[in-house]
Amino acid sequence: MTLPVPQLETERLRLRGWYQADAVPLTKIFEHESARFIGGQGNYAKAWRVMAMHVGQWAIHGYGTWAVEDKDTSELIGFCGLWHPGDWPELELGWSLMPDRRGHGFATEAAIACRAWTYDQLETSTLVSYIDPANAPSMRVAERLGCVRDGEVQLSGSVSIVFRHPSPGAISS
Amino acid sequence: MTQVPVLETDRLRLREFRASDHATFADFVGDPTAAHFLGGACDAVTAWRRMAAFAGHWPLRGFGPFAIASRETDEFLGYCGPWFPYGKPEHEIMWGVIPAVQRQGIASEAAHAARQWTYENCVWPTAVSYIAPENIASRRVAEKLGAAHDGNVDYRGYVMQVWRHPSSNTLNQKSQ
Repeated sequence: MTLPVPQLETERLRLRGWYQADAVPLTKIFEHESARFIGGQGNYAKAWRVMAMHVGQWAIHGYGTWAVEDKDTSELIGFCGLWHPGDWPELELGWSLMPDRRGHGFATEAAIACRAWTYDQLETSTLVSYIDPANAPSMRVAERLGCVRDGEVQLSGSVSIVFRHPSPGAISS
Repeated sequence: MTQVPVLETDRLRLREFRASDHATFADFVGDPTAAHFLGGACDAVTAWRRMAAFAGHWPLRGFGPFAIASRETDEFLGYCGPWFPYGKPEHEIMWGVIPAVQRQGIASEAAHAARQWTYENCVWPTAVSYIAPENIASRRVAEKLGAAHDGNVDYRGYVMQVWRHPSSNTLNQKSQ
């Protein structure tokens, strides 16, 4: 069985549905200390369940996150897309890259493509990114995406800063 | 989209997970008493991660846990079914029923249907259920399903009893 996750392409990246084999490279993200910003550190078994969870979001909602790969090498470099737990206040756009692929603008490039797909396909005129106040690199991505700070929110027992994305009209104009 | 089969029993409908199941599921796995044997209570977002992983198991493996719903009202009552995430030693049939409807035979009714579907649709010579030694209610469900205690395993730091289900062949012979 496969899920019809739409494939998106940018200049350097391919955004695609998840494969079971992605759990192997995904482990590198969850072994890194920065995994505390995305639900906690873990090993391959954790990465497998996280990958299953991303697949499951598409099954439940019809949208979710994409596996992001380098178009030249087809290597998995991270993930990006929509994150919408049942009780989340708003639809969130999130991203996470392999530790050795950060700092090249890949998260921004992927997020722009995901946001464009979301505004085109889903009935929403706004998106947020919830970012831990200690996660400075992610805040820089949000700023590059044109987000503005819009207060704080208490999520899972900790405070996150709400970064609000520009509306579809503001992006196209 | 992945088609999760719908199974019906006298009182229950086993179906795919839906976003609307999350609130009841989160209450269930967030309740320290109810979640004692499910790895401990967790918050709502962790409940979502678990529920979404159940749903994602289907396209990855071709089988997975069902949501148990009331056949009459379609309300979410629990989960049940084949489960084999990376790291589990053997193929498992698992179940969990919300406190409000426990002790009514719902887990065994659901697990019976899920096991039958699994044996008919997956190549599983055998199946086990991992049960905490103190979880008397779940051990009774395993007994009702004809499973037998077959040693213990250490899983993620917990001792779990292995309850081995009758094989597909054994069940077929009995029904002939």
